[in-house]
Amino acid sequence: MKKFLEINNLSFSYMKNELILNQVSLSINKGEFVSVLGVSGSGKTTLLRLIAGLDKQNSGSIILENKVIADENSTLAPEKRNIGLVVQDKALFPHLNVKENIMFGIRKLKNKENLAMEMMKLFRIDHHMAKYPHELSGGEQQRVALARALVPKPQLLLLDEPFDGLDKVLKADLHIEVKKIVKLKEMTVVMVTHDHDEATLLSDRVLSIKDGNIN
Amino acid sequence: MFKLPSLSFWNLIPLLTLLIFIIPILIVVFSLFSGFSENINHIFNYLLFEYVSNSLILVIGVSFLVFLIGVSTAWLVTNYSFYGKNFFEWALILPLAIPPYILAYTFTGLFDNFGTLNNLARDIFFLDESTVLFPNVRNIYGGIIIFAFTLYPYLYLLARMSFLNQSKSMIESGIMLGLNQFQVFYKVALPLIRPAIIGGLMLVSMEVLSDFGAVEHFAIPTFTTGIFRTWQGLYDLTSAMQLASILLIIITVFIIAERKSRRGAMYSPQSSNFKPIKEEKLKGIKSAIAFFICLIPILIGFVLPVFELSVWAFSYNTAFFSEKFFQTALNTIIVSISAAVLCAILALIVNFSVRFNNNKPLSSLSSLLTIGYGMPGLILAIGIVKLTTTLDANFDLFITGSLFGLIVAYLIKSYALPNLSIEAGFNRINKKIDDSARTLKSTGWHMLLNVHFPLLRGSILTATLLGFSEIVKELPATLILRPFNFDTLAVSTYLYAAEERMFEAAAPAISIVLIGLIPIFFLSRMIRNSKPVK
Repeated sequence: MKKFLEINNLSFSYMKNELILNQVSLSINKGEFVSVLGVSGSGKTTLLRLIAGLDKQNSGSIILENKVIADENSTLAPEKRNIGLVVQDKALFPHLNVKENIMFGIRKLKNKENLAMEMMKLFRIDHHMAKYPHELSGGEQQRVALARALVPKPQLLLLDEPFDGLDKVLKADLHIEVKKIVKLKEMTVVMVTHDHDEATLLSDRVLSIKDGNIN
Repeated sequence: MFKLPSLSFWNLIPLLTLLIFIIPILIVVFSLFSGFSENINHIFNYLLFEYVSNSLILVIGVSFLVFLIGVSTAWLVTNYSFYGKNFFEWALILPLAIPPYILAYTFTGLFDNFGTLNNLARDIFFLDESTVLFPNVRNIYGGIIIFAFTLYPYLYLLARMSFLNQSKSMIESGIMLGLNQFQVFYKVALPLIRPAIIGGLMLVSMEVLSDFGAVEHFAIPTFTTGIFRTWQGLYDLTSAMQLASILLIIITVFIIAERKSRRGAMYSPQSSNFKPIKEEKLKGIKSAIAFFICLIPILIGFVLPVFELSVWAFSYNTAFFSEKFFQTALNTIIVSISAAVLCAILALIVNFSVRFNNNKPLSSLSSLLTIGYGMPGLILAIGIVKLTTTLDANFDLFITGSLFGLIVAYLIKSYALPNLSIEAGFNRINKKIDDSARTLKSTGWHMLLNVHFPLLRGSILTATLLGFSEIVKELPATLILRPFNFDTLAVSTYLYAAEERMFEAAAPAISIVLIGLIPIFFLSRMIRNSKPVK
């Protein structure tokens, strides 16, 4: 299969002598769902932030669909990478309602209303479209965050412990839904989590990260 | 393939702002290298000692009184429960609404030989006109009283916050080691809040050294009055700038000391076993003493001046609201709101730029922008006049004496307060929201206007109001930089007071006090929210 995302010898540290990621290399195929499993402080969120372009690596390179998006000399800004990101605390815009949140990433498209409606129906949140984030439950907020990240049709979807903090029933429900939608949209996904069961249930491949090294 | 990071608008904006803020200050400092005239030699030989000694006496005297009032009241309202305690907690900051120059004018009216209080005493006790019960306050000791009772809230606020952060277990340890209540106060509690005390006293000293209105009214020769006289009396701008440079160096030392101590004051001894202090209930004579210790500063710093202003206002009857007053008020509102809005916009852009770029040098640069807060308005005005006259001469412009210089001075002088509110607002917004916005292709102006601005509306409004109330009070910079025939409330109060037309000074002075109550409202809300959880 063709390599979709290639990460070569990626290292990152906030301060000298304190490596968060140490020469990490991995490659992901198109349409693959890969989970990176690790405990807190293992460097898994940093890995996602580097792929998204929110932090800059100290060394190494990231190649997405044969295009270098970050290497030692330069880095492509996150807004130019076409990568979707869903984080644990959702980070929904509190001043926008559900529909406005979902349309935020496709605001320049003419058919934004239709695309947003389609995504809201897919995640079964269309009846909440006029509500604001604080009026939704944790599970509903996470659905909005997923829909918002997916609607601009990103090349790659990054999930940073997206189901953390949800109760078991809700989590199971969302697992099924996400798996179905990801397959339907043929998305390439990198998810970081500390939940082994979740990783094995959702992913095509599970990698583990420890002290900044991927095994 | 893609561009290297470049000097973008968002990288440059804090740098450009700093340049604009610092140029007038640098102009003043560079005057030291332009040779000394006969005037400056005369000042150095015959006047400088008087300026230095008077400024020093004021700083030491005010610091001592502020220490007594600020620390004692903060200790009482934090540790004890007594009659009126909840009222005093916020009312003790009311004198912040009265600028020192207005307190100076009202105290002159109250304590003059034929002032309100002496007249009242003569009427009550049937005394003859030659009897003077209350002493004249137009001297350096009166100046110390004026500054102490308008500026003690700075130390009160800092000391109270530090006392609140002290754990009960520390006080208990002191008692277990055999200390009585007073010994616990000065051997345990007081040393622990030393950074807050130093920080507060530095702020107070900066305000005393920067003041022009009060010392001018009391005819106390200090640095600021000396600078003003050298410029406006001897018409020697270079010598005035050289004199201002010396004051600037002294103020810079105070600013550095204050910032260092603030870092110490931020240190909170709270730990996981932090226990909030339990208030001790005072009864009988002890409760009465605590009540009067807290009441006296409010009486002197707020009630008395407001009473005197009201007496003037009522004596002046309907002419109080003259057409001239409305024009002056309108001028003040237009110029202050414009500058306050500009200040808030600038703070919004600079703080966004720091957040968006997320780099440390930019963040340090941004905190340097608040330096103008400690700068005397007079020094800024001198620097700006020199700058605008140079620009006019070299580029065929006409900006000297226009509103441009005044607005720039207001921006530099009052940037710190709006910045505080906007910085706090940004800190309340989760940074993951920015990350999400960036991955959704929102950046720069789009992110600022569509993500941050709607979330910062409250902070922006607070910032504008705080800036507005600060600008309205500013006297020396306005006096020097205002366009011809353009009076503001502060200038109008000063001019009437200078001509002893106190009744006419009442209307603008009362307006300044009312506007000064705006930050008090926000501060009192903060005080209510800062009580320890019981």
